[in-house]
Amino acid sequence: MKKIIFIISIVVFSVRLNGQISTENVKGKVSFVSSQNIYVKFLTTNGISTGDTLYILSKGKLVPALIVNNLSSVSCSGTVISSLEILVDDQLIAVRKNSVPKSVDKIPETKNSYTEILKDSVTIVKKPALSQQIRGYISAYSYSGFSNTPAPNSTQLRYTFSLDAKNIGNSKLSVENYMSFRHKIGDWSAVKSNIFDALKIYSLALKYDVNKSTQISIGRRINPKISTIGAMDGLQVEKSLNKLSIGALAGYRPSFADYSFDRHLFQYGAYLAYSSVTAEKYSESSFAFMEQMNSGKTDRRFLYFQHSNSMIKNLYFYSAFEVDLYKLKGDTVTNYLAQNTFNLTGAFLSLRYKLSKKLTLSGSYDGRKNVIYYESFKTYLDLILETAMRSSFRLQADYRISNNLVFGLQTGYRFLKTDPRPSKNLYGYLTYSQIPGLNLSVTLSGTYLESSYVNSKILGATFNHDFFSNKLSASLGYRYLDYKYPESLSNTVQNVGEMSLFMQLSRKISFSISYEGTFEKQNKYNRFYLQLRKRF
Amino acid sequence: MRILSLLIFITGLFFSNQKTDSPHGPDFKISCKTCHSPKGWQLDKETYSFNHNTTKLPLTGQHKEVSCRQCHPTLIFTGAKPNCIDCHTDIHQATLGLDCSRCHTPATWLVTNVIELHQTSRFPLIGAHRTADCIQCHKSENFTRLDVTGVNCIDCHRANYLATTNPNHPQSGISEDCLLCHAITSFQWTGAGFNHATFPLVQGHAAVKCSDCHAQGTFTTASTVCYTCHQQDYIAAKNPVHTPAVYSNNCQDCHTLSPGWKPAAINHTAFPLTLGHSLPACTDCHKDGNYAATPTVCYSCHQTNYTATTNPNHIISGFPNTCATCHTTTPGWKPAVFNHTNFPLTLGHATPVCADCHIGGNYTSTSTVCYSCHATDYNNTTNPKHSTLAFSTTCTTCHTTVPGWKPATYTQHDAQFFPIYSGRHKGQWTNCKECHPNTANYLLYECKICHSSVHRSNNYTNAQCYNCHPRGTGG
Repeated sequence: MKKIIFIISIVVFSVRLNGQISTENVKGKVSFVSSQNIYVKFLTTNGISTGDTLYILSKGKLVPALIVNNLSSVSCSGTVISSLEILVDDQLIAVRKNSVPKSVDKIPETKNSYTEILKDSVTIVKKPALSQQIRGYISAYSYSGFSNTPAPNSTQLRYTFSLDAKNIGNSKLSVENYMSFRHKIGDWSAVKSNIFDALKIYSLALKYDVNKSTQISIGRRINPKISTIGAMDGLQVEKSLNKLSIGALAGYRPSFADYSFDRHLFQYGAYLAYSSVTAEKYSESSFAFMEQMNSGKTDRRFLYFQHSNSMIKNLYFYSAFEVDLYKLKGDTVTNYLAQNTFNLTGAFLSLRYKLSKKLTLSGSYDGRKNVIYYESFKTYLDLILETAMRSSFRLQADYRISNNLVFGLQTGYRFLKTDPRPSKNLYGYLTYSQIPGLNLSVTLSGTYLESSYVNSKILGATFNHDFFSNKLSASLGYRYLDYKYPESLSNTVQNVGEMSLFMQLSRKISFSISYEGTFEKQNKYNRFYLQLRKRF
Repeated sequence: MRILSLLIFITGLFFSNQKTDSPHGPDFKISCKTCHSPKGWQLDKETYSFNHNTTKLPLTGQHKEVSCRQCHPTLIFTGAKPNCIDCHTDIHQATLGLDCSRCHTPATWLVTNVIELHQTSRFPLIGAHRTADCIQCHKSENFTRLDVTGVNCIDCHRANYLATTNPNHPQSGISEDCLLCHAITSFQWTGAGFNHATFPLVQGHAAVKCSDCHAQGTFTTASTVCYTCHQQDYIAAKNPVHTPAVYSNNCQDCHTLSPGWKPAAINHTAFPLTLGHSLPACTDCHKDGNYAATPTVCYSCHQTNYTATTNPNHIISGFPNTCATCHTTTPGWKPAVFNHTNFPLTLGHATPVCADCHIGGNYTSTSTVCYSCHATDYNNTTNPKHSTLAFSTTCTTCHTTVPGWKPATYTQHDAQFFPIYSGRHKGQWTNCKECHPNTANYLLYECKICHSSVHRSNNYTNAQCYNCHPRGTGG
């Protein structure tokens, strides 16, 4: 019985894998042809080496056709050296140098596993455990405004640099940096008086992967899990435990004045995050506590909670809450008493539901109060004690009438207690994408707005066109606006024209230019925007 | 060796029956060759043909150029999260919500729709706000956090308010509602941009200094009453001299804002100065400088006229003292329309002299009986002579008020003398002369003019006819 099993096993694997070839010439079949290489499948490549020549039988003669560049156990790829056209399924012949019989003991693993498939690849790239990835961009922007009004014309330049260098030199060390520099033409003195009025560093941090689950960063960094606190200069540690991650951070808030380093603004905190992601669903939550100080005294203490999920099919939910735990109470500047509190400073709720393939409904609530930093603002606390919540509601419905035709309605309501009256708006649009024959997209829109001091009606049309396989995009727009001032019973009519061009000059370089002209009865306003961006 | 072979066989069978574990997760339906080639499992850009536009997120702008791994950190592509902030750190510190596409496009972070964005916000950008830098209103140390900003002017312009010295806004207690004085569409705080709507600075007030009216910085308590500022002008006025007894100190009663106090027109709409009132001296009505409580009743000024009137004597006649009952403001008190409904003044009475009827100025007990006025007519009438014929003195028995006493219908003839409006003679005559040929004496009559053939041989007299036929019928 054992003999039978032994024989069967030999037969099975012999058939599935490499046969033992004893002839000098080995035939292979072309399996794939690319612009650079031709791939040839053999029963085995034993005896074939990199640099060998493969031949093609032409008019009864072996003609050199291919130089082998890469090799696996059953296939090879190479560069064409023949003028003859080589097609898929053509037969190429290798002349063996050695034909070494395989030992039955060296039966390879099953081919059906991905491990084996990878081994069968022509080139097996063995990536290091940590692989360096460097990407980023540098860009230059200009914002120019010209008008015939008494307001001065101005041009503002802005340069940004972004770098995300992961695992530098395949090490555990990473660097991230994002900063911008902005100044007005003709106002360099402002830059010279304080460079940090122009230079804003949003992140400049070193990150070190202690192990697969632990990461430390030092420097200025915005933690995506608690981005609400903004950038922090200091130490951040995060430990991942499967779906759970725990983080702690301690350092300094950037200066309130110019976003530079400020040693007085020490802060510390911790967060707990949970993330569950599958192909169909995901759920993420994070909970953070922060204590922010100024010169050793509590400036602000708050909790932050964020949750998002797509646990129900076609439904996406996002929520974020910020609760302040500390306040000063008193009636004079010098007579404040610290108190614990539980004051909702910010709440954001968003829901998006795809009711059907055609109809998507979404809505959001955004309630925010201005944050009070009791120590930092103590001297003029009375001025900023307006802590009424600004509430904003948005509802939107998008209906896909056909593949290319979409209609949408959106309404918004915003109110702050000190506003003379709420701001209400209704916006509707109709978009036809890719009009046949024109490759043009058109959007018609209308808006009605009631705000504290003006009511307005806006009608607009926008045309978009892509050229050269989307390497060049152009848009042209027009809007008619009628502002009515209820207090004075007067109005202002504006005609607005817009043009923009976006050019992908190369895979890494893009350029865009935009113009917006607003024409009133007497006043004319022009705005130009330019951007040049180079990615690396 | 046999045992080893057996193990290898069993292991081989086990693995050969295993379902392949795709690194892209279960139910991954995209063909391998869409991304891979026989070169290996690395993405082959030469053969890559996946159309990302078939997914929920078509790739446009910069998204077309980035590597897959930037959005798909694992090989389970469907696990990529849908929100911008899942890939892009929110440098706005959650102050702008989730929807980056409201400001940014996949092509660029450049925000080119600032004006359009504000058109659905609490503060559309109008006037000077349209040319302002974002950070002038959205103040933050990093330029990217957009805190809640109030939409009241003072929320941004408090510094302007505090710094203003002409006039000093805080000291003067000027309202923080800037729109009361400054237009939102303007580019400057003064000149055309200044709005003095509560007291329009036009005409004579167009070029005055603030301090002319707002003495000692009284910007909130400055009176809008003319006299407050123009008392000296009132006192100094010479033509005419504005003595309080004559002229009100409500300047606007007579003057406009036109410089030089001219034209001066009395605003007398409550008592229109027309016709007979068009050129009075103010004091004719406004006695003792009473411009506030001068009555508008005619009699209060025209009592003397009422009393002095003799034709008719209003007092004796007991006329009401509501002059407007009979008179208009036409000078001379004429025409005077009297309400004579109890004795309509029509036809023959249409244009009488009052005294014709109201003898001796008797306007209270004048008889409405015709004869009381027309006795003379009665007595003097000769054709026929009413007195002789003993006609009724009730004139309306035969006459209307049509002038000339005609037509006259004497129906009493039937009862008094002989039936001619009834009986056999009805309709047989057209005028009196047919029976009364002697119009000097209607007592005489002729029957035989018509009845000559009757009793011809007896030669009866007219009286004999009447004696036998007093009703005009056969014997």
